[in-house]
Amino acid sequence: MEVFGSLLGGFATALTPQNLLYAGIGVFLGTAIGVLPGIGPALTISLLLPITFGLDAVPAFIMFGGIYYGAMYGGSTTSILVNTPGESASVVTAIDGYQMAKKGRGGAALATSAIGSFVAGTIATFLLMFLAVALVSFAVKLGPPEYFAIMLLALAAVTSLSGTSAPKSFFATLLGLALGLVGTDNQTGQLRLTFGISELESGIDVVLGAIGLFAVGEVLWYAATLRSQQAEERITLKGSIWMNGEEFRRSWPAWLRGSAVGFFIGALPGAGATIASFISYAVEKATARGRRKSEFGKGAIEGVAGPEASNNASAGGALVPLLGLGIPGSGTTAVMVAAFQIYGLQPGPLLFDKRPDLVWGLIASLYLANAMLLVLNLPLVGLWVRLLDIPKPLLYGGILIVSAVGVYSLNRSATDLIVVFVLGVVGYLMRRFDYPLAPVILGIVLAPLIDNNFRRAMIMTDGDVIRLVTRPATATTLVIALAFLMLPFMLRLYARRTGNREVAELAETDVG
Amino acid sequence: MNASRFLALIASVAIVAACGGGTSASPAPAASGTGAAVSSYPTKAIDIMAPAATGGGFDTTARLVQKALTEEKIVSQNVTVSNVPGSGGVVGMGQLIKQNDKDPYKLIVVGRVTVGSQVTAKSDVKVAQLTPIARLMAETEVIVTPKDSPYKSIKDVLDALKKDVNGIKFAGGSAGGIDHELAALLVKAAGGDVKAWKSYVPFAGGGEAAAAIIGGQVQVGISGFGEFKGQIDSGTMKALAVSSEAPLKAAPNIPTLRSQGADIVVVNWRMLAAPPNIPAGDLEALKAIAKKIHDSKTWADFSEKNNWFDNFTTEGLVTFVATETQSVTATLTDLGLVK
Amino acid sequence: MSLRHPDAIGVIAIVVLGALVIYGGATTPDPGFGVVSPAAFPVVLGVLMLASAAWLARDIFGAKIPTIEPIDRGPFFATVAATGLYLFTFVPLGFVLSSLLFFPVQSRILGSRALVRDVIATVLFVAGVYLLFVKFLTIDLPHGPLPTP
Repeated sequence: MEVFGSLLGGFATALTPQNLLYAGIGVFLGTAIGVLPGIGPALTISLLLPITFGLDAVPAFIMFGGIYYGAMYGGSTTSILVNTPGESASVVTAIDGYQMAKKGRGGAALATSAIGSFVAGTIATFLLMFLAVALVSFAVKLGPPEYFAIMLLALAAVTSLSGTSAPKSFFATLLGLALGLVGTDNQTGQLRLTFGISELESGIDVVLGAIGLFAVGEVLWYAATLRSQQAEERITLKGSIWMNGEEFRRSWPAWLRGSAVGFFIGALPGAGATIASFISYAVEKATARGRRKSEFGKGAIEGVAGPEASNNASAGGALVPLLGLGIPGSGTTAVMVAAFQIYGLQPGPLLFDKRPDLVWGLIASLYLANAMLLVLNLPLVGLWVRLLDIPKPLLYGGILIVSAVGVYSLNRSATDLIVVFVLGVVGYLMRRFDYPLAPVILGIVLAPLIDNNFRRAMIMTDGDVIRLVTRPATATTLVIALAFLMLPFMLRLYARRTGNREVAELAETDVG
Repeated sequence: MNASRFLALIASVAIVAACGGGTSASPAPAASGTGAAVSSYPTKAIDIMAPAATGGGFDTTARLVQKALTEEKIVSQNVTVSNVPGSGGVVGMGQLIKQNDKDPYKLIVVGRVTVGSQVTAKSDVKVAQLTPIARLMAETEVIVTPKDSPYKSIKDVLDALKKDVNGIKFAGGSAGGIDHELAALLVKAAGGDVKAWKSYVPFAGGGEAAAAIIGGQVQVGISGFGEFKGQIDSGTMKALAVSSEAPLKAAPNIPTLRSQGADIVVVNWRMLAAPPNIPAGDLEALKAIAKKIHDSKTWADFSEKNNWFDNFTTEGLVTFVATETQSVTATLTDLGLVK
Repeated sequence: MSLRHPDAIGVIAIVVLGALVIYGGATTPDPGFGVVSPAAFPVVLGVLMLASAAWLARDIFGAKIPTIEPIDRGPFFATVAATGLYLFTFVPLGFVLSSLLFFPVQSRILGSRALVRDVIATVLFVAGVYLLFVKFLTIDLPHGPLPTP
């Protein structure tokens, strides 16, 4: 087959010692810098872009590929070990990953996310080769009305995030949505919800939410419960370092499901890794049965394996619109477009004809980068777990310093640091009074997508809601979203009417 | 590959890792020494702010300046690019003006887009407050349709607008920006009532808009030429017109708006600027550096590939910014985009 | 609803926030480019926030007042103050000075009594982060009153 021939050519390019070296450097740097809170793949690539000046395009892009996949790997580590997700795509990982770490299974959580990332990265790269063209022509059929419906569906994923009280989960989501709207409105150029603070014009980046609510909130939480924390003996490791048999058997179906979800969500321009990880968590909880379902929120390995696979697969998915149409589908691929342009290249389908060495070399090196990441990260699991042996006062002080630096690097803004502090206090209070935090993050990401796409859609239909909801794809997605949102309430009502206890339990676990 | 940066990484990883244990490591040597320029400027690292997210026009221009400066060894110091996104550059510009007064080592790329946003957002910081160094380039806007569109020319578009002012949906960048302005000018050229016109669908950038255009979600797309060049070349979009005075050398088959009965000329420009009140000697040195950037091969190759117009100058820029601000304000007010 | 219920304050806070979001949303000017006003979504969110407050109030109405565990006030408020000061002075004092001051103080608040170890760890850690971010990633961290390198 033609694809395999081209791919072989790609491997011939990627396997030269020089290119292998650059892939290795990229993978190493991506992992090392991706671990730091606040510094995600997009920022990593844009910071490292100047290093490649003077290199040829082929080794440069092989290095970017390595950095991209590497930075996606790095994000989950702090989220699992110390409950401080450094970027929004690993916020859901913290829910069950941190619980696992507290039980001494942090090693297993890190291992399942490393192997899951490998599986997902490989599957996504494979799908990218074969489906790029077909998927791209499907993706552009979806317009603002469909995006609006898809984002509502993603919002429905909050019902799977655990919390003890439905109104509190509901409020947490609304708070996130409101935070996501702060700043300049793209549709009119007007300022919204900035209350006269001019520094809020550029909005509240979701990274500030992740760092404030989780990292700063976690440090405050630790301080507030200092005595009981000191009394409690922390278990660094119980059982094998990596996964045991049962953990592995539970992980692999989640990796496959997560890969599928992540790849398709990633391929939609504008959606991205965070949304993919939340949807994957919802899928895992929905497909879990019996005792495992009740484990979600308390250390279910599927809740780590699925989302971690899915956020890596979305990296492969995001390359679909980039290579298939020359359109950046995510923040990271936007940086790659900039990189292509600096090298005088125009990303898009023509690149396959004009520079097959580059495109296929890049694809082949993505496979290699994935393998290298697995080899690099599995042994690191042992080292990362040892991070927990650092005396807690030093560990938490260090987390705050690195978080502050990460936040500052984002926009070089003093206001952002203050926003992070305020969110930290809010995050602590929410935790203290049992409000879930993850829905806030999902809300921040989704608010502009829901708002902008709804308003774009309304312009397209001249303000006619009926024309909007009768587009077949929109209608289908909306019905599914509504079903997801309403199902728990319906079950609860039904249970109350009939006194059926089984149904009542089902409703409870779904609302959480 | 920069060896001292790599050493620094290894040293820092070692130190951070050693923190729990207590072993010590010695820091790596700092960056290299100074170059032998005519003026004493520059004596330390230069930062160029791109007042937008990575990947857009400001960012690309800033990174190209960075690339030319380092790769062609115009300066020997480190050159960094920092991104401060928001409001077409107004947020980043405000930060620079307020925090970096008199500092000739903090440069910024601003442009016509920034002038437009400062007007629509009623900003209290102005492009005119900056110290202009050099106008770098100009770029035409391009008007496109999906590949099998029934609209074959600007005349078709104007005719459709005459029939129903909301009959055509436009896609482009953020509201109030240059793409929106050009769409409004087309509506006006067709004799439509701009106040009753509600058919501009704003997207966050050219990329998102491109997906909507290719998929036929909208009928017409407007953006900077560079943003849509790839799609035009690969045939997924059809270019109806460029908004410049003359057709592009590289694409002479795309006619201008003027030649199709719409008397509209809109070009986007970007310039390199410094904070207010920098020393006069440093400004002269910066102008000389800008000339070297413009004369470099890196710059020439890139601007040819991206069909930039060469309107480079270091003179008369204060007046230029003033007249641009005036004319942009007048147009936007006339179109009802500023109230 | 009993005001002694720990969630009563939450209900009040949500009502205030909801009102603020409605006010902030409704006062957004609409230049009329599009069909739906920029005020629409925030106002809907604010109204839903009020609804969530009502729902929460109903849930705790007449509910047994749960006891919540007291917190370690000393370390908690000290951490809030230290973290706040650190994040507020990060830019004016610069990364190096503010971090050198913050790190040992925060360690002490969190129960460390090994001052020498903390100071050594602080210097090494701050140096490491400085090298990584400023020298390697070329991020221009604030330097405060210290001279630029």
